[in-house]
Amino acid sequence: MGGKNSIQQFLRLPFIWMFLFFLILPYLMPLIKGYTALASEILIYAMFALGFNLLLSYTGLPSFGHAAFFGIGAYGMAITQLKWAKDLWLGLFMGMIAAGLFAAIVGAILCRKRGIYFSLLTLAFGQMFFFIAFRWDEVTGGETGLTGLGRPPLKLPGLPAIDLTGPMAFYLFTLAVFMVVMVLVWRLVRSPFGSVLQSIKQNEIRAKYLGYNTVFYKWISFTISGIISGLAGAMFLLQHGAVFPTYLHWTESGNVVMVTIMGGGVINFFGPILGAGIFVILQNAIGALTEHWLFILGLIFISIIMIIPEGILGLFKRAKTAQ
Amino acid sequence: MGRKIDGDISRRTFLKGTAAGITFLTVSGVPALLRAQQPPIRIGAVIPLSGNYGFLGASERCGIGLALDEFNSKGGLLGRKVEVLEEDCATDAALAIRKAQRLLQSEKVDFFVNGGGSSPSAAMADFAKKEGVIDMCIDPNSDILTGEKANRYFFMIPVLNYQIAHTIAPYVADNIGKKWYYFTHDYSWGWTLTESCRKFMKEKGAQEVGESKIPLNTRDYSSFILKVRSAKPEVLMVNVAGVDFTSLVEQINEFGLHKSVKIVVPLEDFEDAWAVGPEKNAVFTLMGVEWHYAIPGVSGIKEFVDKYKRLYPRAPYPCPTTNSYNTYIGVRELLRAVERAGTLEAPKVIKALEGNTFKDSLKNDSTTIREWDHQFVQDFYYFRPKKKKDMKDWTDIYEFVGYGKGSEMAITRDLSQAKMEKLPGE
Amino acid sequence: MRVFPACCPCRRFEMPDAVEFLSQGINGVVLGLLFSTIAIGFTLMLGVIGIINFAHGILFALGAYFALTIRNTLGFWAALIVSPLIVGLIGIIIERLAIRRMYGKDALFCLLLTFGIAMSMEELIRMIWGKLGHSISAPAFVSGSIDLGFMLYSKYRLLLAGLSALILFLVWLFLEKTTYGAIVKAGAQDAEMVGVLGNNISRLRTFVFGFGSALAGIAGVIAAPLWSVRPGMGNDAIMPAFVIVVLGGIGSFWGTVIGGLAVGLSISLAVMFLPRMSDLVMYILAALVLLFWPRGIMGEKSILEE
Repeated sequence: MGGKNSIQQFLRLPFIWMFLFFLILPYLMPLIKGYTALASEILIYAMFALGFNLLLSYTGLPSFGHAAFFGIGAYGMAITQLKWAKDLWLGLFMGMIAAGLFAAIVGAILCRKRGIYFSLLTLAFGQMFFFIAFRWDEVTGGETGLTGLGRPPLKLPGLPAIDLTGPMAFYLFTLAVFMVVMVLVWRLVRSPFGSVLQSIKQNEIRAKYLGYNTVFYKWISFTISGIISGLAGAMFLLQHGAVFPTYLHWTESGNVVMVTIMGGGVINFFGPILGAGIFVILQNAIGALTEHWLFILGLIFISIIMIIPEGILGLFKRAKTAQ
Repeated sequence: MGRKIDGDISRRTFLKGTAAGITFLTVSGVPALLRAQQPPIRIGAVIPLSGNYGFLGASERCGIGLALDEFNSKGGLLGRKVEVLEEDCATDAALAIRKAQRLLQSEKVDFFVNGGGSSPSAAMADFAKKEGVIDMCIDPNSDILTGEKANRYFFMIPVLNYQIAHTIAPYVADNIGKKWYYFTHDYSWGWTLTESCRKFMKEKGAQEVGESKIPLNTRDYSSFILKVRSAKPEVLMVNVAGVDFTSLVEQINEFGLHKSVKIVVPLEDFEDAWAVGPEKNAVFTLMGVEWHYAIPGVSGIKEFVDKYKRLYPRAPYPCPTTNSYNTYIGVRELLRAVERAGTLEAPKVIKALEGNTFKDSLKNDSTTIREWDHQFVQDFYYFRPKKKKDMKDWTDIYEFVGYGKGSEMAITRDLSQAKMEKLPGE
Repeated sequence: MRVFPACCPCRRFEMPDAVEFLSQGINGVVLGLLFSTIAIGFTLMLGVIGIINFAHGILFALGAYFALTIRNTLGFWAALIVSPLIVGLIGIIIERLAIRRMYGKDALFCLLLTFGIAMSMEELIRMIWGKLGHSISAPAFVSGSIDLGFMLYSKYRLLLAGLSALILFLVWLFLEKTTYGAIVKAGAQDAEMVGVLGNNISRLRTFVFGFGSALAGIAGVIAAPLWSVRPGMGNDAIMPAFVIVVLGGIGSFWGTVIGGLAVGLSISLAVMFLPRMSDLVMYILAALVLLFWPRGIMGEKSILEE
């Protein structure tokens, strides 16, 4: 009896429908002057935004240096491939470890800080990582970055190696990774841990009085968020075959905040995914029309912030409550 | 913030949203489908229109146009019109790759031309090899592009650092001074140029008294200029380029450095000199330049300049520069190779390019496209600033001093790191 | 000047001599004063009305661009006066149209709004003035260098230092010695109180935003000959502004001055000894300061900590 209910409950969640939609997305891409690789980018960016939103909306910590962890993940994967072994799982793992490690260190320093000082410090650390990537030529390739990296084949136990060089093959792999990450984050925020995080966001002092070590929870959240961002970065490296210091620049950090909020991440778990999709598609479509697409994007964002700060999903919610 | 976050999107809302989305996508895509059936040959140009080398983009654009005009005015190439799609890489490697991907996947271009300096070009070299599409690279000078990054799909038109140093350094050691100080732009182009200069400097018995690495995007050169002054060299080699170079020249003028040191710039683009003006540019004792119309005794230059002025009367630069020249030559030879090969297939066009020598190089000697490193082997020139009273107009800033033959000065195979891969079917 | 013997591996690291030290020290002060001027508008906005104005960098850039255009027709001094006024006006317009709605909301939204504004306006600059940079020379009466006997130094930098100091002095005068300035200062401590005391809060906010914008603009005018005018130049201003405010304390005048000088001097030191680290030092400095003085050197508890 209980089993049937939970399956029904699961089916009511949009995961199945999202999966089906994303399966046909590559075929829809050419209609908007897009292509399969762009669809992979949407998923990767959505992963990044999901990881970021864990910190922003569930823990209430706005970080303005998160692109640093994305970039560290990408560099981790690249350096592993160049200096160690061209292995897919190893590279992804190392990207996540590198990003997670730095997130843990930075988080340990920052998680005691409150409000604006937290955000400003994330900005400072983000820029520090950017300049290290930009100037430390011996390791990161400096301004030129690391280019010419291929995609190692996917090795699963019991199966022959799957070649990921084709855009569709890579897209399906990305989709699989994305679904796993999304479901895991969903479970995380619905778990007792997630509840603690949300209570900290609501009122940290009360959470403290209830006996929770709030700094510790914030730190864990920060680290997990960093790991997910790093994974997204490593996937992005596989997508493009190159990593550059610009991936860590504060404007990229600003973009992910913008994207998350624009989609409605503040009030809805799936908001960041929508925001990521819209951003990548707009960037491509408007970019094809005019080189001044940033102007239009900026205007769109300003309008959304001023009119519906809860983001696009906030529109749906308003419509629902208005009914 | 204090808002609770839910994850409820009801199935109905989701399906509604998806349906709306698909309708939107389809409707907005219809015009693209309607326009799809046209067969011009398309070249994707990923060039710098902003950023550190942004001012080169305008010249490069003219070069492409001049080459295309030669073919389109005579009925096209293989009976088809040739057109170019431009994208700004903003001197940024990540952006260059993104734009190139879009041009390839979405616009389905047949060939690439790229500029923007060594960084975007190194990334484009890898891109060209990965995607199996030919890329003619028209503005950087870094040796790695015909060294470790060399591959069958990537062709380098400009002169490389090794040849520049080989041409300039001996002349400077013999005629200008024996105690050198280097300003090295702190990235691969700057390092390799200084390394090559050092090699020939030592061979000629000159010595280095100091070096300053100039980080990219430096705004303030006062400390570097002060360091030079205290080191008291005879010669200052300025291995700096782009917008940074322009700022540096301004500040050299500001501090009057040229009054105590002879300053040499082994590679100057006309666009840089134009930005500071001939008076400020006169701080230099010697300037290495890939191409300028002031080269005496070469046929075809006058016609080339006249055509440029006719087609682009309002271009930002009133005369063609090195970058218009390199772009013109690169695109022209690519199109000629397609004509010779009779097809757009990359492996056949590559073979038509490799080893080809052409006399109408607009330089003293013919140019050869070397097949083991894909370098356009050509002459390299050096000039001194022309005195104001001798200048016929504002573009006439260079006075010819000498040149080095490409065949003698370019890097030799034993010193090169180039390793060409086999094409499919070889 | 070589301090180490030829065999020592440290040989490559050359100690700067006295002249270089002095010149770089002066550079540091000049740069520091410029940074303080850039940051003062930002800290006022943040301290008095609690607005994190990401568009501060773009207002700085606009100051430089308007100066570029005005200078060609009316000359340097006209540009110095007129350009900040135009930028201040633009600031007021932005405040009335957009920022106004953000009061009382989470500071994050305002930050994002100004981020969007900065993004659009930077592109707008590209559309109006073109994508390429313009090198702008110092006005004729201060071009070239001045011979101080034992060293040469750029005349314009000295003028720049003088103008920055003057601007900072005038701001200080306003805050300390005028009644409206006192109100503005009080607003930094407690905006509600100021309202209770009968002053029009809304007008105060508009004024501060306009004033802060004008300060950003004038900083842009004087920085332009040093840094050249490019569409992306706002980034050279916004990041140091953040760092200085963090270092010096939100809303503190002297904190901004001290913070600015600290950043300027540390950059000059870095350029002398470790040029590659020169862009990193200010962030390292900020992080270190914040670890020991959580509110900055002269900061006090502000509403933004909630």
